[in-house]
Amino acid sequence: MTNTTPLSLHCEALHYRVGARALLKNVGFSAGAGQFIGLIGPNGAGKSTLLKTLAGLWAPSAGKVLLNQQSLPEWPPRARAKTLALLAQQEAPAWSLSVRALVALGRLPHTGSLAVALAREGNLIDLALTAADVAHLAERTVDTLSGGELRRVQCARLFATVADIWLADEPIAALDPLHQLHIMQLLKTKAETGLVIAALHDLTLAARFCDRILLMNDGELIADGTPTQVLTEDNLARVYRIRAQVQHSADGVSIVAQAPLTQSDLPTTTHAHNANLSGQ
Amino acid sequence: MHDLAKEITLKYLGLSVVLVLLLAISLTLGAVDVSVWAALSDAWAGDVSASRSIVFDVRLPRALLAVIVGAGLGMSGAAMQGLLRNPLAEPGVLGVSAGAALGAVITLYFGFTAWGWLVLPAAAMVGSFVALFAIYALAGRSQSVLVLILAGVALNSLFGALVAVALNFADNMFALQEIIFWLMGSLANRSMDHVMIALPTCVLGMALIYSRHAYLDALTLGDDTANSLGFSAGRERAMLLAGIALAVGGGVAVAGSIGFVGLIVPHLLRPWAQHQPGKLLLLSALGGALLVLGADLLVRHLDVARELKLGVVTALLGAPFFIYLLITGKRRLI
Repeated sequence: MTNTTPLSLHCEALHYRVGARALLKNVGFSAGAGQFIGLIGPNGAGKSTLLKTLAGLWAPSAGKVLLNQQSLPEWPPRARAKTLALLAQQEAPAWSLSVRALVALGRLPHTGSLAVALAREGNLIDLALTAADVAHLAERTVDTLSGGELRRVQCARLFATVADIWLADEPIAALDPLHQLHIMQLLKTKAETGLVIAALHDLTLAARFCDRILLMNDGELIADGTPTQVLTEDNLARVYRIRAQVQHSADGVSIVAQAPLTQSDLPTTTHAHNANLSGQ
Repeated sequence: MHDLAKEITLKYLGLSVVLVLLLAISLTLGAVDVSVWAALSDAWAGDVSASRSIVFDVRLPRALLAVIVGAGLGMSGAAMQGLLRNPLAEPGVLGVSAGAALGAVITLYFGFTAWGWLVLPAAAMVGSFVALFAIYALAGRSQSVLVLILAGVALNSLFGALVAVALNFADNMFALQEIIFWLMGSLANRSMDHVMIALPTCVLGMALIYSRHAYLDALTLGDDTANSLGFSAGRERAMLLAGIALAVGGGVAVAGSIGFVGLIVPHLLRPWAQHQPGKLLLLSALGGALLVLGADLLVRHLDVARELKLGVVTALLGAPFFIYLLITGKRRLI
């Protein structure tokens, strides 16, 4: 089915409720191949919930997700896993596997066995290790790694899936600046042929690398558009409650948070531009 | 890579060789001095002799049962630890052993055992399945392993209490003795009939568990990641639980509850499996067989007149070892 229909991920009127609390409210957008989408918003905005719903891990309370125009629950889990991969925010390994074995787990949808993946797909695993700049750690056990090193190994695990769509929940939060740039560049390269949606907290990096930004707040999709359209001082003030300086230069956009805003400082009347570029 | 494969084969081979040696020893050694060769030649010639009867009707079923029950417990322990992502988990945690023991105790208390030798083992298996379905009703809908653990703890206490109630109501000394016998675990006076009960259930259970080895590997990174790798948690967990119930229920049915095997064996062998939960399964089955066979040999030769219960010996060996692990163990990921 992946051969006949073009790559697409579409969701409409997504609601996700836990008890009385609505974690997602009426979220809808469409995305296709060639996009690197930055999913941003303050803590608790619903970014992780949205990614897990898009990945088919959580069934929405209402609304639907279509992967390649087919409803997500209709996909056989393994076929879905070959097309769409998720890097969860929390992926703490329970056992001290070797780095190589942990990355090989990403091959499970294809091989169905860790031993087979390790024995037959060494080249692909090496590629993933090198891509995330963790090849030198391959024979270490994962419990000896630093937080940032472990995150890069988990990124390599995501890369090893070779799925068309990558959903990454805060892939770069624990990384040093060099590796933040490195991983963002990799995701951007992946997005040339595939689709990448990454939840991010670094707004400057999001603005620099992403083609499209989804801004979430309190379970709602507040804005959807290019970084320039979405990352406005007005939006940042309302959603993040910060006074931020947005500078446009030849190198791209840079965003500096300058001061927190109190309730009285917040802009109240204007509503966000919903520049929906999903049809682009 | 090639050296690694060789190394792993060596580990399986080494464990298997030790297992065969122990089997030979347990057929040779005993209260009566008989020659295994004499028994073999008698069996070959079709002669009925005392040595043939001792080796093939007394020692062989006992040794085979030790291997079968031990393998089932070892692999179930490894599976439970992988499923719960917790090195301190074992079959007892989900209440499967307790359920099986309750089934056994109920048949003993109401005297149902008089109906036939099959009643007791069947009740133990039913008990383990009741525990399984109760767990599934409580935690099957939830995707969280935490709920599963809590359900197991609750069921374990409930079954433990019910066993105590049954013990309280036991009306004669004989019933009490039988109950103790089953709860402590023993392989004394087992026959080939018992082997025929344990073998199919344990093998089927282990086959079910082993068929889910890839899910256990994927679970290393948690529920969400395992699901995202194309495993449907409900189905995988149901098959694993059914396999564990079969392997443990079949074991408890013929040998009573033998503790600590499912805890110690995976713990010891985890480094040999490079800490991979899937690879640990078969190694733990071999290791469990070795441990129970070895412990039973010890039971048979410590005091021939008044045999210790097998579960007592594994607890005596296992508990101090486990405490030692807790004290010295670097509390890393394990």
